[in-house]
Amino acid sequence: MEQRTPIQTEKEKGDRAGYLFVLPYIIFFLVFTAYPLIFSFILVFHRWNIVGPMQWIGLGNFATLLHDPLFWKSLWNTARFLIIHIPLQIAVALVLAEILNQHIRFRGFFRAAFFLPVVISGVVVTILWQQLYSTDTGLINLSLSKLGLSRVPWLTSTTLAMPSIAIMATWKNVGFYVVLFLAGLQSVPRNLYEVAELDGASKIQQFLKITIPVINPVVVLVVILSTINGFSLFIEPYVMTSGGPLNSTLSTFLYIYKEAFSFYKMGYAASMGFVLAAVILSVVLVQRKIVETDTYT
Amino acid sequence: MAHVLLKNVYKIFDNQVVAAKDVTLEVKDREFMVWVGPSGCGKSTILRLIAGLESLSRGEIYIDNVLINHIPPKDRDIAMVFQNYALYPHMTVYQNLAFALKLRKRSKTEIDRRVREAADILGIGDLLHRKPKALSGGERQRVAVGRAIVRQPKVFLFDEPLSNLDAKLRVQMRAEISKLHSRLEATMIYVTHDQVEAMTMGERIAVIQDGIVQQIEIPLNLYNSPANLFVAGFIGSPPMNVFQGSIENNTFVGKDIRVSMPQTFQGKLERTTEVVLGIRPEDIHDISAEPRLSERSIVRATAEVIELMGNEIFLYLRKGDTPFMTRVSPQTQISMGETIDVIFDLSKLHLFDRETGNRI
Ligand SMILES: Nc1ncnc2c1ncn2[C@@H]1O[C@H](COP(=O)(O)OP(=O)(O)OP(=O)(O)O)[C@@H](O)[C@H]1O
Ligand SMILES: [Mg+2]
Repeated sequence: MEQRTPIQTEKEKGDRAGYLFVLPYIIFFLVFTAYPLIFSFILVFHRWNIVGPMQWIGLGNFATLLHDPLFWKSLWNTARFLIIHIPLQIAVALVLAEILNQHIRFRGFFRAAFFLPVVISGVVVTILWQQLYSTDTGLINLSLSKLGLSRVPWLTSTTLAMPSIAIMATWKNVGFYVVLFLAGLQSVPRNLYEVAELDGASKIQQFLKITIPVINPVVVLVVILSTINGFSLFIEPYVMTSGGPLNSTLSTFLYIYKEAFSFYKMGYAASMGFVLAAVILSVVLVQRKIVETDTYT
Repeated sequence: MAHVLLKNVYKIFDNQVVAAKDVTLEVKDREFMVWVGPSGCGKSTILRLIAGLESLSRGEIYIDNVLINHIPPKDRDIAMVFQNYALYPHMTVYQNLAFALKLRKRSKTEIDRRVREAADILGIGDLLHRKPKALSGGERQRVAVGRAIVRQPKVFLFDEPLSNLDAKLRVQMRAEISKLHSRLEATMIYVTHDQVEAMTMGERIAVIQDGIVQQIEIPLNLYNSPANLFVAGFIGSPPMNVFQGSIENNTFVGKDIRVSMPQTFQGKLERTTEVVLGIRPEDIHDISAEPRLSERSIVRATAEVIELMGNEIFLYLRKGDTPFMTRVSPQTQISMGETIDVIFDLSKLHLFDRETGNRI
């Protein structure tokens, strides 16, 4: 027993060093994740305008939310965005990744080029696209009219504004998903294609029957990540349209932001935040059920 | 009917590596031919040329006298089994076997019949609903072979299919593939770097080195009369003893060893004098075992290492600066550092031209 004591202290020393190493992360986590989460959960049951004292209203915020047409509209707007954005994103990313995975010239250059928009500030990209989309002076419409076609109200039509934003967001983010798909494609053993070729599969059949199923885990990841990212649509409508015209591009995120920082309804904004989180979670769970296949049994 | 013919085939990769050099080789209908050679000698590459997975640099490949240089892989009617099995991970065993038939638009009943037939042959009937992840290495191997046989191809190509299996399973699968060959009566080319596999399975063996076919022979002839020094050293384990030396008056004179050449070599030795003498370990006998040999030569040497194998002893000997080894009976009484008289069986000598390495 006596001999054990020094060993124990050694172990405790090691433990202490270990905790010291993770301390920065723990502090970061407490300050930037745990504290805001707990605080906003408290907010959910209050009315608060930042300057005044908090006022307990129980589930009042949720009652308001149920009857707030703008909240439901913002959810619908986000859904419209996602329905275009996610499939477009996946299709474009997959095709680009497949092309980049071939032995083409300047492969390194293209890989970097597609990734560039991802790392450029969202505001910069958005302003650039605002210019492209501009009805009277935009490059797209100028080209269209040169071709003798009529101008398109990209951002000023209630039906077109959201699809325009979806296309732009796809352009900005696609590089990230290209990288994910590329990693997935490169993990498919070459032999698999060789066997498939001998088995008589054409290139398209190989892509559909070998590539897609084998990289299914990556597809699941991309679907989930782009859904979560899509739900947090904010910068694009904030900078380009401020949610207009007629609130047709008002995303839930933008609405939450406006309620919080334009109208100082902190409690209400927090409540919407929690509801949105629940919506995202359920959407992702459904997606997993549909998309994920089991390779292991 | 499936007869494979390679005519002056070259494969030069973009990085200038020559993986096949003037390969001319014929695989007869229903033959089981083994290609053996060290790692990197080009075995896989030549196999892949036949399958159409690599393009030829030069030369011609015929199957049943039809030039197939420009026929795409899927129309060559060839099935290949890879070392890493390459099973489709997202498909069940059944789907793996059925894939090629489905692509060829066979009827459901025909597919089912052929899949079950192949599964029966390989004893994987119980695994049909499993996915590859849930199979052992040996089972995956069988599935990979099964996927080849459901297609009933003209030619089977095996690229080191057993090298990922443990020793015991390898011996078992070796026998099964041989059985499969006689059952299917198909043309098979089997690549390995394991000479035991080559010797036991091959009807004929092609020894390949540096992209060049060194010799094509039935196993016994390959062992008994290797065409050159490379084949002599590669086939046989432990390898053949070789001694550098020259021929003087019908006697081999090495640094420490002199052996008078037997009658059979006389007449062949006028031109070449610089030679390499080869003799397999089992053709050197312990004198106390009293072997009855008509032509023999006694060498006295010192025992350096003694390896007891159970059924025999590997005896590493040295005479002067010249080391050599022999396999002797386990009854042999010898300890390290002792001298021993051994007898070279002169009827089993091999002689090679030192410059070209070719057999004399
Ligand atoms: N795609 C390629 N590009 C360039 N060189 C290659 C390529 N494939 C193979 N080689 C080279 O060609 C030579 C023959 O390779 P190959 O794979 O045919 O050898 P192998 O006999 O099958 O060897 P192993 O027993 O290790 O499988 C090697 O030197 C290899 O480095
Ligand atoms: Mg190989």
